[in-house]
Amino acid sequence: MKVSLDWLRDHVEMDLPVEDVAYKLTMCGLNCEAIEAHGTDHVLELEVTSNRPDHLGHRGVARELACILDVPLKPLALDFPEIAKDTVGNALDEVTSIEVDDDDRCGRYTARVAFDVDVGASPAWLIRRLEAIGQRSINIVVDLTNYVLMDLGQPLHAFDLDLIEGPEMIVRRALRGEHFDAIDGTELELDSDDLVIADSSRAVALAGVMGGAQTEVSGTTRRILLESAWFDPVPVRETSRRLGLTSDSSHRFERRVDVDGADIASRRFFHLLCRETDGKVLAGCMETTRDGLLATPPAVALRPQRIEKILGVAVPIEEMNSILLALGFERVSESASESHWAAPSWRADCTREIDLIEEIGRIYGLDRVPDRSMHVRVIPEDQQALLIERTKSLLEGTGHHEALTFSFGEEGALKDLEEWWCIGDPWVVRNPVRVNEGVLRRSLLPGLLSCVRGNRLHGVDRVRLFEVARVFHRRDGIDRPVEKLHLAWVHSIHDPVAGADPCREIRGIADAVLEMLRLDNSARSSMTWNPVSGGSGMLPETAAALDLSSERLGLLGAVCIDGVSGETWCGEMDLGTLIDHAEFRHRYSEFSRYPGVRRDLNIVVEETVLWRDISSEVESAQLDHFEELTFVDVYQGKQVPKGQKSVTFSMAFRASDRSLTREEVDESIDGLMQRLESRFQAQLRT
Amino acid sequence: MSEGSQVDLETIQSEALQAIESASDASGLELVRVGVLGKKGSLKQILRSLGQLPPEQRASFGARANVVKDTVEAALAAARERLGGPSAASATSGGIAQTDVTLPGRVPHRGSRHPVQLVASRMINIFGNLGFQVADGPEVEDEWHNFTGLNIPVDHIARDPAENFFLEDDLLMRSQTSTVQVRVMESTPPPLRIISPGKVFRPDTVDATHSYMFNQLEGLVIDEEMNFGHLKATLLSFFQQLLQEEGMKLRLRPSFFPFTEPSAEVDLFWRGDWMEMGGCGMVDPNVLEAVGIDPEKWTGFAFGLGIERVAMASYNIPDIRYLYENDVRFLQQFS
Repeated sequence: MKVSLDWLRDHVEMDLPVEDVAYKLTMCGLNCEAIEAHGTDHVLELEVTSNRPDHLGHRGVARELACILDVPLKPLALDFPEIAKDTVGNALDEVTSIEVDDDDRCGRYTARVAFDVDVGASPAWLIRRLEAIGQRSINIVVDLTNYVLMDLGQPLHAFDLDLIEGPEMIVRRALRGEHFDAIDGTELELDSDDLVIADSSRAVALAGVMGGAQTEVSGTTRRILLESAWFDPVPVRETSRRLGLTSDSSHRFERRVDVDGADIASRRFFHLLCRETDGKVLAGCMETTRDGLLATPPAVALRPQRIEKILGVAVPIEEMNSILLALGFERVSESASESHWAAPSWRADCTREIDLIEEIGRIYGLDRVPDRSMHVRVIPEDQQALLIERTKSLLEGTGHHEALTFSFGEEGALKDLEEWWCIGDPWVVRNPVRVNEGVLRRSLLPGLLSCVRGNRLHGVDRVRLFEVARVFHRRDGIDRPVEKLHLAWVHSIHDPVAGADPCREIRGIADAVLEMLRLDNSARSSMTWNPVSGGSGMLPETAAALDLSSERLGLLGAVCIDGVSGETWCGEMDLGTLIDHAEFRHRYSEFSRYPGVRRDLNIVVEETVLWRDISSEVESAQLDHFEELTFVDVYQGKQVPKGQKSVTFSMAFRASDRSLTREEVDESIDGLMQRLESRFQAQLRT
Repeated sequence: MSEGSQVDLETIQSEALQAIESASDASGLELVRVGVLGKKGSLKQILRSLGQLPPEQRASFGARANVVKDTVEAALAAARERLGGPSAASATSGGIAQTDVTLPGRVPHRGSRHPVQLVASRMINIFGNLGFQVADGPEVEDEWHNFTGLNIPVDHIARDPAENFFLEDDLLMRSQTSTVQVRVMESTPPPLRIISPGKVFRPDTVDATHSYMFNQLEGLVIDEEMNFGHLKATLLSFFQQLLQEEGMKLRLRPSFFPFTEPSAEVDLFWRGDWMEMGGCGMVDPNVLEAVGIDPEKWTGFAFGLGIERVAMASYNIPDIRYLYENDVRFLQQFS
């Protein structure tokens, strides 16, 4: 909110440079975002928090300053002459009346009437004040309503009483589809949730938001009716939002204006009107107020030792008292251990002891609170975090850049990939602002691949990315998303190097992660990589899945990205579940210091035979002194018959108590070859 | 051992001879030479284990090894003749006629960490040193944990559907990491000293400083004698460690949040400007009562810091959107 320094001086005597004023306000909770010179005046742009509607007027800001500077707030002149009957002899209740149909939404409605008003130009001081805060002068009546609004934070609206049809003003719900011409020129269609002020034939104002064009005060206006009301915050906000119509009035009503302010603002308006014009005010005020709205809230107990417990500083009692008094609180009673305070009507936010402590703290100065150290506390090591960190290090160390993508996105071309991870429907954002905010991701890859695409289209020829983040799955019987921690990595190359094997490189990352995690025995033994036949979103014949029994823990493969050349391979694993199976500990185990024997075997098998099966056959043979099996190469071409392939692998043998001889190993190899021959019709390649 | 070593000598010789025979050029021969006779070659390795043999076997083993050495050298020389390669003299100097040793190295591919994660890790470490334990919570929350438990009343503007990403029923993408405070307090009795880093979601218009998803680090301390002075000192220690720069200043400027009271904005004076880094305050008694903690006995403070803000300030990143594009040319600057 824009605040004029000269205007503040109308309320409080002060002789401070503008920067000091700005700083003092900032440090009591009214953040000054900018200072602008306006002629000889200065205008402060203040950030008003939503709990302080009283700061949406100059007097509220001045009250804060008066409190900080320990000077009195100047009194506000509210008096004006009242005349019992107008020129044709009518009293107030003969020219208008008020009927509130919906006092849930309109807590208070007051109306006063002035006649013989000469609606001319505003005096220079008024124009200066309004222009300083960026408002345009219109005429004396409209300007005074705006001035009082910006001064006291209470919205006012003046109607041309001669344009009101019928004497009665009715506060009612709008009719469904009711038409309304707002004062700013917009034409609106209302809803039965909207509250309007109506005369006998139509809506003349949208309650709390905007007046109507048809009853606007103009140069020809002679009689005005001034509305000063209290509307319930939530419906004003809802109407304003639905219609996309905000105003200085709605901004204040939706933050809850002072319930006592309606009458004060109305009086202030007529005081100024009578001071600046020859207008005459009809005696009295039409008013309806909801029962209990003006009731005094219960006093709040305040204990000095509680202040110290929260703030960490013993604020002297006198200082505490003078702060609260200056802010408008009233001391109801006082004893040695506590005092009781009634909050002013404009501070509906202060209902508890802690609210008063905050008031004292921010005026006393939070910067005056001495620093206190906390006692030392040792935290346990977080193994899950450590394993995530190691996983990321591994990916970083193998040339991948860590990406940060959004948790939701568009349901796109890679739907199959998402569904491979979770068949259940995705979780959907009910009210997305943009299309790309629609669907919670079930897989990290679509987001990561879209970054790959961006990179490749921008001319980055080789892209390696990874991300560790959450995906959101739907499970029967669970009424909220199951959030799982996934790891995904991608390698996309414009021009694959001959001999490079991106498929195995992608798999190598998975293997390295699995090895690093040191999975427990049961997971390790029942975990297998299997070909995926279709429906995974990967290109045909490229996809492999990591399965633990029936649980899906990983998927690797190649994808085709629209408009991107070369090859793109990617992998994703359920890192959270894998970590659950991690046996995180290093423990020395004895190893043989004797030389071993290494034997390479080159066998020819049908091309459909999988390494998965060959290797498990080798492992399950449980050969004597068998130590390790290593894949070396697979070959298809001229040297082997069509439809077959040669597979080379290397086996290490070692005894724990002596050097092995080649002859000992040869026996084992012969036995193994028999097994491989009977299972796969494997032949040694010669 | 002795028998094994003999066997190995045999193997070395036969494998070397076989390799020499099949070598097709000088560099292939050189590989064999280095692999067998070089400083770390297989023959040298085995000779080094000579000391482990019983003394009576050492002599014969050494003699046998010399035979192997001579045999291999002779075969190498013969092969060099055959291939017409460089002389033995040049072979000893590396076998490669001209090596420009000033050529740049072959650098392995190096990856990088995302700047937001780099900063988050530093923040977690610093708070870890201050005794804060990391707590985790879901990104999808219910209204109770996102609002009600945080003293945000039913008609509060923060609950407006237009200000949040609502899913089904009362579920929404959490709009703040303070939700984790509530979850931790529900499940763990005080004293508590936790931080919770993570993603939060608000349908803000995207521009250079706003994104509809960003990262926050939430902190919560509940203990018997915790006051505003502890909050100040904690944040000050944190920023001093984080920035390690002279002239850094911190101020806690009174503000308003429903879940803390008194509340304050955390302003950092750094490189000549005041910047808003987040919010903080003493935990509101209503928040404590909502999870069954007696606010008369326990007090505490909470804070929430924007991780992107720290990252952008630390690394001079002018636009928050760069953080989510994941352009390799951006990311590799943080390797």
